[in-house]
This record gives sequence, structure tokens and C-alpha cells, in this order.
Amino acid sequence: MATAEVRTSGSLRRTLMLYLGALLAVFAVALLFAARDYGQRAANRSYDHLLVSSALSIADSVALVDGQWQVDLPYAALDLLSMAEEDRVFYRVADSRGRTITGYEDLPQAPRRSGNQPQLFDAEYSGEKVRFVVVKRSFAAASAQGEVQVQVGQTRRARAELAQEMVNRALIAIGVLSALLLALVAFGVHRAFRPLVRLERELSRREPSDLKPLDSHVPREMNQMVAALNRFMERLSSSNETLRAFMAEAAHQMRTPLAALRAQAQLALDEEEPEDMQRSLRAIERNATHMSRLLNQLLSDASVIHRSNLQRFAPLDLVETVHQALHEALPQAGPAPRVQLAITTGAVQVNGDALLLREAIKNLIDNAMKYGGDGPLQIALTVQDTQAVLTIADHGPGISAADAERVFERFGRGENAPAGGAGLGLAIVKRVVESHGGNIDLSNRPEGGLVATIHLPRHAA
Amino acid sequence: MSRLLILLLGVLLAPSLIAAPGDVQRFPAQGVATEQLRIHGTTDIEVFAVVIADYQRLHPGTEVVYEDIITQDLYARFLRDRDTATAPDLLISSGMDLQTKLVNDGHALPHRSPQTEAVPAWAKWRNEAFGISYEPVAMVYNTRALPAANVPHTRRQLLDLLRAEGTPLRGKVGTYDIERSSVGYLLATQDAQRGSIAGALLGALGDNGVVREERTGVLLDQVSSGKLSLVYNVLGSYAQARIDAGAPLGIVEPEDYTLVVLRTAVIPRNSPHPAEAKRFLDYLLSARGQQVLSREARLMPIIRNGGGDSDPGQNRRPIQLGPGLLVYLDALKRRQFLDAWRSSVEPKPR
Repeated sequence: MATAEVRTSGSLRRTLMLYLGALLAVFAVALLFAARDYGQRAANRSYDHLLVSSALSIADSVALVDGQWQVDLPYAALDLLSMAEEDRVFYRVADSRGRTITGYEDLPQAPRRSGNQPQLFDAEYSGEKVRFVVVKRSFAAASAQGEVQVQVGQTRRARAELAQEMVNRALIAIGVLSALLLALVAFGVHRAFRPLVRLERELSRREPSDLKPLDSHVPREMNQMVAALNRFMERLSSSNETLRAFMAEAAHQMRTPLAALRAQAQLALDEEEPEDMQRSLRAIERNATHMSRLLNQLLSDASVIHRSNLQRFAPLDLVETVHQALHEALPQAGPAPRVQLAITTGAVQVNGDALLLREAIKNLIDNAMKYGGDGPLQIALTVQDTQAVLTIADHGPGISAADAERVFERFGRGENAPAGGAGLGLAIVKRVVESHGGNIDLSNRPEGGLVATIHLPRHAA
Repeated sequence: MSRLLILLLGVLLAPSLIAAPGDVQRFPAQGVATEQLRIHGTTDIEVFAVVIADYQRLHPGTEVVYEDIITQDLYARFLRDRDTATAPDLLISSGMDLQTKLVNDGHALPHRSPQTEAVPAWAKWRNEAFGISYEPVAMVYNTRALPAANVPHTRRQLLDLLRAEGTPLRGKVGTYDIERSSVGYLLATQDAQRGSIAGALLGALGDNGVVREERTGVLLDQVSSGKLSLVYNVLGSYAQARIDAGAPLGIVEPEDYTLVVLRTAVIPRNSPHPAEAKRFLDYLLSARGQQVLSREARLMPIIRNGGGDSDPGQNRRPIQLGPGLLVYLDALKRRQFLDAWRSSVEPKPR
């Protein structure tokens, strides 16, 4: 079996992997962003607690003594912040008018005033980004009252480190997860394609002559394809069968006239009288002619099969084709038979193979002339809706109902048919008409004679 | 009160008033001077000269200027001179709190090298302040004045001795005057921070008419001469030098806890010669530099056997570099602490 070159257009597996992989990548990136955001917020949250505690404990240490602010900076307030080992610390205690009581005087202001809740914000200070908190505490003493504002800041090194550490961990987890998912996807895709592989193996293991339908179980998505494949093989198988039957039949058909030829040739050799010899030779000539016509028809049949398989159709005018067929069918010499033509005016467009249609019509005219008796040949071409209707009627004996089906089969000749026909003519006609999407039937006319009616779909202009 | 306030303002706001020029010594390059290095340190020139000489053996092209300044002035001078031609390249000080503040306020240049990586975590901060040696804080006594049986080994025993029948230490006990000595102030605040006994001890010292001095040398001289029997909270390394020289002194590291002061090095951010400063710092932290510090200069090395986390000792509590040290530098806090300290140690009106 020759291996045909198959043109591939991409790979299903690759397409699947690509899209699933892209999905995974999007998922992983989204996760990474989420992890970074979470890391930053978590780092802020844990260290902000310390920062707020520190500010609150400083605010707690503020006292109003004789109208003077006293701040007894608690050791823990700043020492607490050294939990973030590498971070610098800034603080400031100011009164309600913004005058610094103690600490760093030039700390950046909070972006806007808020309520009594500790206010957290980031600002640039001393060449670094610093996280600040501002808390307020009100005093109401008998002598005086006021409000102090405590601002504590801490550089972000530990926060950034903690956030980075969380991101790194998330990164590892995401990496491992992605690898696992990718492996799972690859495995899934592999599994999904297994029936396809199995089918391929089954097909390639088959004998070339084995055209039995595939019987492997396939997933739903492949049902259609396998069914189409099975239908195709069925057609192939039946066409093979037809071919084989045809060849057997053809061989059989050739054998009879050949045997007759041989017998008559033997007879001729034994003849002594010249008249007898001549008679035998005439019989030989007749049989040879018959065989030659049989062969011609076989060839014609083969070419019709070939051409109708090709389906090289083009729009054509059926009127013209009928005229050509008639012209070719009429004998070139001798008396011209009488023909009555009733053809619609204007062109009748059909989509088809002009040569095949001409051949088919020629065959019908031939038949009509051969078996049609003495009356005139009547050819009519009309248009009915979407159909072109061609009738060819003769005045012969007609056919029996049983014959009406049989004559379309190969080598199937009518019972009362005179000798000389091979029985292929009508089979060829039927094949041509059907390959054009039309149909043919034969019927006897009440007034006697046979009429062949062909329906062909018209070409939509 | 107002006198103190002026002094305090002077210290904090107008360093030029008190920043008298210290002892300066120039160590010329061995050959052609290609590099320059200006060090401000609190360590005596005589002690540190050995170290510089050894450094110049390795790097003969470096001219070193060493200026010996007391702790508070070192800090104030830096802030005043940091943008001038005489800005220092390296600050080496036992005033851990002030060095910490320099780092915290963004004046320090970070430095990372194999040598700085070898410094144990407790002896550095942010890779900007590095301990180069450490010194336990001890009680030093006169072996002739104080019989071995009476020598206190803990603060509790010292308290008992101060309160003992017959007041044997009345007028014979001394410590730093923390209003003038930065290191003394640091030690006093650390004591206050650590133990509940500190208040009682301070009161007892005051009851015994404690002698207050600014400089370690003066205190040790008085113990050696027998004028004082015992001094509390002084740097042990100075006493050891005197013992080696034959002075009748004994050193006791309190067994309840012994504070350890780090001598720290900081490279200022605007150092004129930062590369040379880093090279000198790397030398100080190298095995050779540490050996010279310990053997020649009698300073205890921060890195033992060339690396690893060296344990300062069982009862020794190194003072932690970090924001905690900023608390007692707060102007209001300092004023309150000094007020409380003074009212404890000054003789009570009877």
C-alpha cells in the first residue's frame, strides 16, 4: 500500500497545550500579583501594629504639668520597633499648634487630617521611604487643655523583606502548582487523544481488502468522523463489488461470442463447398461485429463511469446537446428515418457534462431507432418548474413491466429484444442521468410504443 | 537647673561652643602619599597609633590623620564639619548611642564585605555601624584598701557593702559623672533599663558621697592612689593596662550582669575618602587587625579565631545597637533622667 503524503495544518495537541498553557500562565501571573499585594498588605499590617503601639505608648507618656508639656519617652516605644532589626526610627511629639515638643522637627506632614483613628501613611524622609503613623491625644486639665500629636516613622526595609519573602514563597508554590497542572494537562491531552491513536493503529493494521466497519469504541466527538469513515468504506466496498461483478459479467459475455466464433471457424475449415464456407465466414463476421460493439460499449461504459466520477460539470444548453446527439445518431448513409422534434423555444440550461449527456441521448435515439418499429421517432424537450424533461418515443413493441427495471442493469436485455445488443446502453444512460441528479423511466404508450422520459434539474441562472 | 539647661542646649544645639580641638596626630605615608584617611576616634592616640602603624605596613601609601576627641564632641564636630574639608572619613567611638543616632538620621554609608559579614549580628546595625572591639563594664577596686573577702561580685553585694555597718565606702566610692561623660550616661541609662536594683544602688552611692568624674583615667588614678577604694561602672580595659603596669587594682565583672560597650565604627555618608575608609574598616575587622587590636591596643576583639558568632561571655550583656538607644538621647528624656540621677547621688540636705 502506498503511503500517501498527508498535508498537516497544525497539531491538535499543540493547539490544546498552547491554549491550556496560556490559561495556566494567565492564572499564575494573576496569582503572583495577588500574592504580591497580599504580601505587602500583610507585611504592613504586622509592622503597623508595632508602629501604632509605639505611637500610642509615646502618647501615653505625655503629661501636662503646670501648663508645660512633659514627655517621658518610654524605652519600649522605640525598642519595640527594633523588631524590624534593620530599620531606622523617627518620632515627633507636637502640640495642637504644630510646635514640636520633642523629637525630629522636620517630619513630613500627614496627607490630610482624619478623625481620632491612628493615621498611617508612607512618605519620603531622610533619603528613604518611611512608614508613618500619627496619633492624637487630647488633654483636659483644670488649668489648661490641649491636644498632642505623636508621629512615629519607620523605614520600610523589614516590611519590604517580609513582603518579598512572602512573594518568594508564593512564587515557589505557584511554580510547583503550575508544573503539576501542566503535567496534568499534558497527561489529559494525551489521554484524550488515545482513541485517535487507537483508531489509527487499527486502520494501519488492516488488510487492504478489509473494508469492514470500524468497531472500536470512540468518544462522542469522534462519532461523526468514524461514521463518515464507515460510510466511505461501505461505498468503497460496494463499488469494489460492482466492479468485480462487472468484470465477471463482461468476461462471461465475451466468452459466448468467442466460443461461437471458434465453433464457426472450425465449421468453416471443415466446409468444402465455397457457399457453405462463405456462409460460415459471414456468421463469423456477424459475431465479430457483435463482439466489437460489445467492447465499444464496455469502453464507453468505463469512460462514462470515469467521467461521471470526475463530475466536471459546467452550464450547458440541453437543446444544443439534443441536436448534436440526433445528428450523430442518424445514419450518415442510407434512408434517413423520420423524426418529429418538439423542442421548447429558448435555451434549456442544465449543469452537466456535455459529452456524457450527448452520449446518453445518442444511446436512447439508437435504441429507439433499433427497436422502434416503423413509426416516426418523436423527441420532445420541455421545461417543468425546475426540471428539464426530455422524452423520446417510438412505435415499437414496448417492454414488459418486468423488463422496465431490468433493462437498466448491465447486460440486462429485454426478453423480446432482437439479437445484437450488448445490454449496456440503458445502463450507461441511467448512470449518466443519475450522476447529473436526474432520473429516467421507461413506459409503454397506450397507443403503442415505448417512451423514455428523462428529468434533469435545471441550472439556476 | 538653668545652668544645666544651658549646658544641655550647648551640647545639643551649639556644638561649636564646646568643640575644642582635640589631640591631632598625622601619620605620614611611608612612601609617596597616594591615599588619605581622616579618623575621628575616642580611643587614645597612643593606643590607636599601634593599629595605624600596622595598617601603614600593609598600605604604605596611605597618610592617616587621627584625631582623639571625646565622645560627645565627636558627634557634635561631625555634624558641624561634615561638609568641610576636614570632614572625617571614619568615626570610631564607644558612644554607641550617638553612633546609632548618626546611622538613624541617615549620615552613615553602608558597607558590605567578607570582613563585615564575619561580624556577629549583635555587633552591627544596618551594615552601617560595626563593632570593632568590645569592653566589659566592671567594678575596679584597690586591692590594698579592700580585702578580698569584702570585694562585691554582684550589684546586690555592692549595695550591701555600701549599706554595711560603719559605712566602709563613705567618700571612697566613685563613678562617672554622667552629666559630662557620654559613656557614663549610656551606662547609667542601661542600668536603669535593666535592673530594679539600679535605683537603690544609686541612692546608696549618693548616701556614701560618691565621687563623680568625667574621665576614666582620673577615676582609676584615684583608686590606684588609694583615695578611692572602688569605682563602679568603668571600662575594664583601662584598668587592665594599669594592672599590667603594676597598679594595685582588681577588676570585678558583676555576676548578675556585665554590660558590654562596643567600640563602633561608622563611615559618614559624605566621607571625602570612602574607599579608603572601607579598606581601613576591613583591616580593623580582619584577623590581623583584630589581633593587633587585642594584643597591642588591649581592646577585646569582636571576631575571635577569624570568624563566627563569638559569644561575649556568660554574664555579659552587650548593649544593643538600634533605635532603643535613641530613647535616652531625647532631650526631654535626658533632662528628666539627669534630674532624677542628680537628686539620687547629690548629698541630701540633712
